[in-house]
Amino acid sequence: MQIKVDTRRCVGAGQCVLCALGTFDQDDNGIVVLLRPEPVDAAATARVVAAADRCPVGAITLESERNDAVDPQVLERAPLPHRSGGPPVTGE
Amino acid sequence: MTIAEHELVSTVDLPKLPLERECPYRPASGYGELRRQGVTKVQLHDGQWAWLITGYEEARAVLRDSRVSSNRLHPSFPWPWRDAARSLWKLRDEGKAPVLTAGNTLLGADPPVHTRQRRLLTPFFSVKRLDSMRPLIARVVDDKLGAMIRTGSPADLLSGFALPVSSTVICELLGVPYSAHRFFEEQARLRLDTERGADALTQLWGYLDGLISTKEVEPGRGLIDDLIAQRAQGEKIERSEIVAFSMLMLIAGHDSTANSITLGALALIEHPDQLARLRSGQASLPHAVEELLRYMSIVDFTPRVATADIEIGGQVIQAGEGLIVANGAANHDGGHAERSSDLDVSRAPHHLAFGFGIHQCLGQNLARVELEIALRSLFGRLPDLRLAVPRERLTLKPGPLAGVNELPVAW
Repeated sequence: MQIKVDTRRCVGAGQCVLCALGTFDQDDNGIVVLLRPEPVDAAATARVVAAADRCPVGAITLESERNDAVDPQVLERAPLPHRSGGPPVTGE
Repeated sequence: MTIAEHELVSTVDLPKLPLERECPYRPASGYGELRRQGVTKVQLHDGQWAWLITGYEEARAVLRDSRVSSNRLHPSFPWPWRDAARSLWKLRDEGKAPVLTAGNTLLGADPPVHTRQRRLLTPFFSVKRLDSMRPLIARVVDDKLGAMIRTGSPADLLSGFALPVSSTVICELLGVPYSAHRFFEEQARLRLDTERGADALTQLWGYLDGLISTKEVEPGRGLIDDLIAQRAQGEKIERSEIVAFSMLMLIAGHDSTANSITLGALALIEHPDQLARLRSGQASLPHAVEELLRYMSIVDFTPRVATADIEIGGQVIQAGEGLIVANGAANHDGGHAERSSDLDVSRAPHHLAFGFGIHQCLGQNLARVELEIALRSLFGRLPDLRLAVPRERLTLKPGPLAGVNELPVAW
């Protein structure tokens, strides 16, 4: 998962810092600073998802690398399985 | 006040706002029934109507929507509280323009003005900055608690502890002399009075205007001094904005926090099982503070005006119509928080007690730190803190912030 922050939207609420201390910080103006673009483990991922939810202005966006990503634009960029033309996997 | 065409609607049969709290530290139970009706019209004290949004998801969506305005001077801006509205109209009629500007600064401003104003203030309220104030806040809390203990049991927790703490802390942050606290606490209290409110706000404006003049010649230490210095260095900020920011932060910084500390203490006194979980370490105080904020929702409403048609909860709110987000109702939406009517200090749910969107409370992290330290010290030093009067003797404070007029406690 890739984390992106929009510093122009940020209003300095700091909820991301309270939610996910190792991932987000605030600069001297109170505006968000992204410390780690990718969560290190499942627990960190959960905190980052919570942080994105709690940001009052939606300044945090999350892009999943899985094919069932929420953002259609991300889907287009993600590699499709079996592009090489190998045998289809049963169940697909 | 002219009545626009779309307001010529019979409001007589609509539910009337505000609903009175049965319990001081939680929103009125009647919002549950209103929430079952979805996005619905309500009647206000002055005969106007507005849309009421009570569901959690809808509330979040509306508060984040750019098609709403916070402009208090818009003719359709809904006022759920009688007193505050009257004060503002009187100010406008008397031509007291600068004070009126104060009401529309930051809180009542829209982008791009709001964006610039907010950015001037965010540096002072970052998590790091406020963490660095913890030692000072702890000293103030212990100092004021000691003073209350020395006056002897019983005492009023609001005037004896909560208010002195919050006033001292905001004075320290802003650089306002604490010696002026009786004056500004009184003007803040009077601002809601229909007769004296306009005069109180004018007095407060005059005091802060004078304080800034003094600081321009003799700099002190604090947020106000920093803004004066920035302006002198060419930062884009009007002098009247510095006065307006000071007024907003001085009032919001002491009144809301004092009520939160007081109601939070009462809620814990009346939920001894939750207090026990905190004492045993089963639940952490930061989580408890978050849950208390959700439960109490001391700001019941966030009023707005739609600037374009907005579809929400199956209704279309038309451009120019007033709408009110019921933060307290949303925080008790069972669809969002399980057993939402229970106080459960082990959870730290997301809530809208501080609002949402670009106007989310600037001082929220200061409020969190103060609440945490105040409640920890209070129950730490006075483990058998209890009400000193029968419950029925508690009276509600009128106005936009939930609270009690006094909280007599014994230990």
